[in-house]
Amino acid sequence: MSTTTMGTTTRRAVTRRTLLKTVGVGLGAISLAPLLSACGMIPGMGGDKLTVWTDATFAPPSDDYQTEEINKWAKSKNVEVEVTREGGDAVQQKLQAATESKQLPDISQVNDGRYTLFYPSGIFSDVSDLYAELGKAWGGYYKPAEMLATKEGKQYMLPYSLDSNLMLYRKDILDAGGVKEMPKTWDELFDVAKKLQTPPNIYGIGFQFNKAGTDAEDTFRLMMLSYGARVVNEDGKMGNVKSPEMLAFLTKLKASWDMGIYPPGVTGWDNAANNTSLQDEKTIFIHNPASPLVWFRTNKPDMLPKIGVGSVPAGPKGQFNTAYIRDGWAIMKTGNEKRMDLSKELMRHLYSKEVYRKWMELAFPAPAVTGMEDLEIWKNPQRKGFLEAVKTGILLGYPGPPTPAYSEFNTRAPLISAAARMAVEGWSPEQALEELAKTAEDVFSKYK
Amino acid sequence: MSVSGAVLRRTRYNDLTARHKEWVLGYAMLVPAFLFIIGLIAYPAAWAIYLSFTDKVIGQTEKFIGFQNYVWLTQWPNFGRMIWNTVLLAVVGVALKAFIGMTMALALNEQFHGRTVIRALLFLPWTVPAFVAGLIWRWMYDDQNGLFNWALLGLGVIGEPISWLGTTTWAMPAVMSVVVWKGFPFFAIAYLAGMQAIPSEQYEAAEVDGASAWQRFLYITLPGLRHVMLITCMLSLIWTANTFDLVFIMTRGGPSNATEVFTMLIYDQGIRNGRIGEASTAAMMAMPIFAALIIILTKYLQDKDEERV
Repeated sequence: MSTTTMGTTTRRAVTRRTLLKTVGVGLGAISLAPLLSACGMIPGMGGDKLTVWTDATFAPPSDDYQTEEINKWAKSKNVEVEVTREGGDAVQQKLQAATESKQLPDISQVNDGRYTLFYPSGIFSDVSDLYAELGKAWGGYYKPAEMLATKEGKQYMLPYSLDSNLMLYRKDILDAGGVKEMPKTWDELFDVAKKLQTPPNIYGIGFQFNKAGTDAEDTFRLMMLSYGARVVNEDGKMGNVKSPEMLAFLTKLKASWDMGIYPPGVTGWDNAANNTSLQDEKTIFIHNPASPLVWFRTNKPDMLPKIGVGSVPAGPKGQFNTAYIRDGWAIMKTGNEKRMDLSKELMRHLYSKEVYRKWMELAFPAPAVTGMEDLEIWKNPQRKGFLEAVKTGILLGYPGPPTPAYSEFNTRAPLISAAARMAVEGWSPEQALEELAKTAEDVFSKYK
Repeated sequence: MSVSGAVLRRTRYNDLTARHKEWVLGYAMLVPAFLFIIGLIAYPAAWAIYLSFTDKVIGQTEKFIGFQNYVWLTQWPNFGRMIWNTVLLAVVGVALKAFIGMTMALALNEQFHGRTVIRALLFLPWTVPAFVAGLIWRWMYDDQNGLFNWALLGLGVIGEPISWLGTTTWAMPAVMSVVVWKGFPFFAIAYLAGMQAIPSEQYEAAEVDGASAWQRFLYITLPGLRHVMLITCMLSLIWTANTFDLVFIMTRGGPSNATEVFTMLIYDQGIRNGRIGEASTAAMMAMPIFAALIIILTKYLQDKDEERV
């Protein structure tokens, strides 16, 4: 250690005790810092810096553009912004910790599932005014976006994009087989798949029969509804799961498995496997968002015109498409009014005509607002199908409203589980129905 | 603090004997470690135990519900299967890791050209992040584009692709093979280090007495390694029973529930549904077994220390 006094340097010997004290105090401070931070005595998401948590999507150019715009806005406002973009469930995991420790980011991207899950914890600020202002500028929101964002008459999130899963299929194979259009019913779909497949090279249908492939939960839910089966009533409470309609749906699903129209590996597929099976030209039909189209555009442009997009087939009791919020923004209740105002400013920038339209051209879902139907991308029939589907799509929890109970039920992938039981373990539809009803009872009984 | 108070305290401290000052300083130095242990181990563990008796959901105030979560867990449709899968993965996985590790260590304990390079390469699976390993192996096991099916079909061993991760017959062995691949270097390195600590005179004496290689292994190497083997097996048993990332990436517990382990339920209920009370309960179910293993291990290590003293 050395000290300087009036230009002269005096060297002092460091005793063992002094050294130990210094180290002790230092270690003590280091060990106390996280505890103090956790107790809220040190601000976590610091100072005037805005923290934005976002998801990585299947369209990286749209992600990059959005981050670039956020940074551009920050520079123009002389504000420091930290944008983190992560895939999978990372944002959800971080939000859980943030909610419990009350160290919230300023803005978080929320899809409808995350919104439903976290809404009861009261971490989202009321953005009804901004919601109305932005909606007015864009000519309003599509109905599903409005229904999803509105809780007890108020909005706590700003919907940005809506998405739907549609049937993507090999138009060239259908044409060669003399099939003029996407099959209209499940029976027709299974028959066409059987007729046109050439296993082991190309199989008929790429639906996942495995819980890792959550796309299929959506597929089977739509099929279930089209057979007239319901898990919940219109009030969102559990309905009659063990119905003849549910049994008819499961019986049809089992019959389709027995037809040998799925690749044998679907029982082990994850959420990307159906995409890759179409991209690798191994299946004729899949049910998915538009992400494979983005992939084809970049990686196999010659294949893109050979891909058809069609509605989900109908069952004996109707036809359903789904709609969900893929991207939305929530401004968190951080208690810092200045940062919350800045967050609103940033939202206005992301919803500005120039930024929002450009982002939409790079991304693959449909917008949440109605004022973008003149975009060039909707002239492409492949993309137009998705825009049309989200306008009339049903929400998770149909015929009831989206609820945390249905979210948890859906998370358990009960329909995929039933399908896997029948396909992998040879269960009968009656056995699968029994387990499905038990799962529903187990989940919904907690939310009474 | 007033000046007089500070002076008084200073005086009291100065009145202490040198031995007492050392004693005070010693305990003061323990404070940071103590805080870390309380903050990062004791508090979270106690909190997790408490949460398992509550209906805690993220962001909401919890309510004490006694053993309801434990009852709920035992009635979980796949409860028995989950226990079986977890035990199978841990016990068979550790046994295989120990066997392969021992074989590798015995081979690498011999003198041959390139031994140093091979020893370094042996570490490789251990150093690959589980996430990356899971993705690589998932691709190798892929039924449509995977390496194994491509090779076996090319060699004419199989007539049609095998769905390695999609059938109940193959899924668990496939997952276990990756768990073993990732974990055996730990055993090999530990055993190798243990072998090098065995005095070479014992082997020389045994050779003079006409002991065969197998007898030398059985009566010198194995007894010499028993402490290392116990520690590695116990540690690995705890780690393997807590395997999550590899199962999550490769099968997510499927097909059906053929590879579903406890950690999957913890993830689904805790992370995806925010039901921390239920997730904590699932985590707590295995705690008595792990605690017993840890107590045995700690006691064993303490006894070893006392033996040395």
